[in-house]
Order: sequence, then C-alpha cells, then structure tokens
Amino acid sequence: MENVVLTNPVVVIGFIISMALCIFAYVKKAHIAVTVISIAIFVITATYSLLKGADLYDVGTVSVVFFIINLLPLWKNGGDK
Amino acid sequence: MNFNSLEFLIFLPAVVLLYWILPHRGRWILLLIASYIFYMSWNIWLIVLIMITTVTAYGFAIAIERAESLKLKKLYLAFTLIICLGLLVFFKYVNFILESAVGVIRLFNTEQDDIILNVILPVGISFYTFQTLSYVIDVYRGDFKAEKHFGYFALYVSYFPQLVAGPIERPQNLLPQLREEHKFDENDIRAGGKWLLSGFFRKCVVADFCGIFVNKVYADLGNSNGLAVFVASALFLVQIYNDFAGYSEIALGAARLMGVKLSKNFDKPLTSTSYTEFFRRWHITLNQWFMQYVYIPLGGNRKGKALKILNTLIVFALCGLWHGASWTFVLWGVTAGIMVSVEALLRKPFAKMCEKAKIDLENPLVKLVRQIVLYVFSAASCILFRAQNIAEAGVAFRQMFTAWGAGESYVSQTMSALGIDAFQIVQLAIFIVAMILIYRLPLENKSESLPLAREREAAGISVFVYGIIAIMLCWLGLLAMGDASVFQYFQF
Repeated sequence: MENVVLTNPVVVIGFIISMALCIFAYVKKAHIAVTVISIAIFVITATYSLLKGADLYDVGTVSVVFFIINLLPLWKNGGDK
Repeated sequence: MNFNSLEFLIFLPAVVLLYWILPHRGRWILLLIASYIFYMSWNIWLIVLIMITTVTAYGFAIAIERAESLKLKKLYLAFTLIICLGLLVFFKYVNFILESAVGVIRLFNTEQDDIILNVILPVGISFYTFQTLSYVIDVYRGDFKAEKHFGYFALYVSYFPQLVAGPIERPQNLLPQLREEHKFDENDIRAGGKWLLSGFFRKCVVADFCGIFVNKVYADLGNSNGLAVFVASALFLVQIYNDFAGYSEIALGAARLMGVKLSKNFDKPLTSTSYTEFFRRWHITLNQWFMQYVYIPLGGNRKGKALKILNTLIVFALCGLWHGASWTFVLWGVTAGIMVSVEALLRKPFAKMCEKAKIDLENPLVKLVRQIVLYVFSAASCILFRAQNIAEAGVAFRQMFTAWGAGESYVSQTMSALGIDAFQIVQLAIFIVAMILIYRLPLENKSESLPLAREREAAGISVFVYGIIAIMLCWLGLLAMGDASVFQYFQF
C-alpha cells in the first residue's frame, strides 16, 4: 500500500507550506499569527491525509518533525544542560 | 485506569478543576476520594490492602512517638514491618517462594507437583509499601513527627499521581505539601503541562514504538540472530527508560497542576559514563530509599572495603528482587552490584593509568566512548530484565554471543527478526532526536517571575499543539495495531 504522506501531492504541499511558515516564524521572529496559520494549515493537511487513508503513525511522525522544529527556540534559549 | 487511557484524560482535568474550585479544607477529601477511585479502578478489593497498610502505619507511628522506652518503640516498628512487608511478600513473592522451594524439592523427589496459589499482584504495592515504611522509620528515628490527621496520612499513602509507580516520596517532602494551602499559580499550570507533555511523549511515542520491535524478537528468541537480540535489548533499554521516566513525568505534571512538587526520579541516566553514575541517575527515589534504610543501617562504607562490597551486593540483590519475583531480576541486581563494586575498586588505579597515558576522561570524545561502552553493557544486562525466566535469558545470551554473521543477507535477517523496515528506522531516529531535545527542554522556568519572551511564547504554543497531535496520533495508531501497552513499571 502506498504511503499517502509521502506520495499524495496535496498532502506533501500542505505539509511543506506549513513547515515553511513554521521555520519563517522562527527565523524572522514573526508575529504569533504566522505560527497560528502554520498550525492551522498543518491540522487541515493532517486531517485530509487521514481521510485519504494515511497511517496514524505516519502522520504522527510528521507532527513529531514539526514538534522538533518548534522545540529548537525553547532549547536554544535556556534548555537544561 | 492507566495514565495512557481515555478515562484518565477525563479523570485528571475533572479532579484538577474541582481541586481549584473547592476551598482548602475540602481539598484533601477530594484528593483522597479521587485516589481511592483511581486505585479501585484496577480491582475494587485493592482498597482493603491499602487500608490495612494505611491504618497499621498510622497507628503504630503514633504509638512509636508516644512510647517512652526504646524497647517498645522497636517492638512497634517490628510489628509495622511484619505487617506491611508481610503483605508485600505474600502478594508479590509467595508463588516465587513456592516455585523455588519446589525446584529444590525436585532435586530429591522428581514426582513433586507444582504448588501455585491463585494470588493477584496488587498494582503499586511495592511503591506504597516502601513509601509507608519510610514514614514509620523516619518517625522511629525522630526525623519526622507522626501525622495525627488520618485523612492527610491516608492521602500521603494513596496520592494518585504517584501511587502505582512512584516517585517514592519521603514524608518530609510530600506530607507538608499535602497539608499546605496552595494558591493558583500560572507557573504551576505551565510547568505541570510541560511535564505531562514530555511524559506522554516519552510513553506513547518513544517507548511503545520501541516496544513493537522488542516484543517481536523476544517472542521468538531462538530464531533471532545475535545482532537482532542485541538491537532489541538496546531498544528495550530505551523503551523501559522512556516508559518509566514518562510515567514519572506524568506523575510530576499531574501533581504540579495542583501545586505539589514531587521528586524527580530520573536525571538523564543514559548519558552516564559509569555504572555508579547510572544508578545515581536512574530511579533516584528507590535508590535513595535503599541507601537510607538498608545500605547505611548495614554499615554502608564505614566498616572497610569487604563489608562495603557485601552491603552493595545485598542492596542491589534486594533492589533486583523488588523489581520482580523472578531469579532473573535477582541476577540482574547482583550483576549490577558486582559492576558497581568493581568500578569502586578500580576507580583509582584506572584514573592513574589514564593520567600516565595522558587520557583526559572529561574530554568530550573520551566521554562519548565511555557512554557508548556503558550503554552496550547496560543493554546486554537488560536481557535479564526483559526475559521471562532464566532459560529465556540463557537463549538470548547464547544467540547474542554466537549467532553472528555478515553481509546483506545477515542484515536483512536482522531486520526481519525485528520486524522493522527502512522507513521505521527513520521514524525511530526522528523519535530519538525528539527525546534528546526533550532532555534539554526547560521544563521548569528558571526565573518564574519573568514573563516569557514573545518568541518563546509562540514556540511554546506550537510545541504543545504539535506535541499533543503527535501523542494522540501515535497512541491511537498503536491502539489500532494492538500494541499500545501499559506502563512497564506497573508490574513492579
């Protein structure tokens, strides 16, 4: 069975746009609205991919990648040693 | 009611909400009722056992404090130990004792049948028994005044965030906090939320994912090659660490939402460079319990090297036995005790040798090598922790040391035994990177009076949202696969 997360173009583009906004918000220290929009796009894309038959764990893995990206500012600015 | 269940996801917010609505004088009643409901959700009769322990410890602690002669104090302490430890020994070890006795009898009479009693293992009995005993012993020693309010004491024994798998709290830390009137503090909610997020991530995303591959190998050890057994054991160490640390963090988070600060139970143990350091950082509250109430009373290291080694071996053997009623756990404990003792004996000669060879033990590369070597040894000893019995452990060790090969076919045999494919290896790598970053996440605000910077606030919101999504999806995914498991340390 094909991997929806990696092969469905709508899903791939949706996750890429969401990740781009996420990274943009981090690098440019953008307004919180940018973060909120990126989250919204992620949730919509994830929902769409699940409806298209994506594996729960695969979408979970993608959300972990976003989780890691968002951990970086917290980690950088005073993480525990 | 497991922490990773829908019931708990409803139970915890409901209890926290009611806690903050109620006036201080009613809160202990709410928490006590909630704790008993939490415990009885496993088996309604467990309440009888915990009440016996509670009433015994409560009554005898007051009697110890009031007794005027040392002889009477010792007598009351002895009664408490007999009753509380007696319950623990009966419910947890009776079948182990009978099985071992039958094994000895069979050396002389091969016709001897198995003797098995139909006894349930009460969840968390090891934890709340040790916690209760620390209270009574501290009262006996004069380190703590006996609690006269039965309700607060019962709550100390049964406090639901740490009832079934710790941390094991000494009375000096927990009882005063349970009595204290807590004011609503945003920092407690924030810290509690962060601990919960980290705990559930460790359990639902990292631990249970590793468990899929560990279970596959251990279900068919005889047909798994050496590399598969080693990788499964290495993954088991990651699994059990994140499972238990995850539980402890959920406990810390749940308590913190109500203003109570429990003790940290883990301090980055997988970054240790020696066995001694590892056990200082792993299950901290249990190791401190054994130090305070077994190792030091036995004489500790005050009576010479030989006695120090003997005391160390006794403590580690008991620690192993505490984990489970099986000779594999005892063997694991004794092995750990031997490694710690050997390290203690060789520490100075080793340091001198490194100094002569101009090897800086604190050099990052040397430290990394030491961490890897320790991890390899720890992973191998994990076989004793994971195997169901000595025979199974024997099969695992035999395969690990003998069933080796090379080449592409050997690698694909290994992956087949683990049930892992290339995409799952990538998933595992991503989860482990996230786990390492969570190590460094500021779970407690260093300056709680300062507001978060705008940048960190946005990141904080994102971390929570993505973290919750990841946890829910991975948990539901595992439920669908039938692989979502209970917390491993609940069995202890």
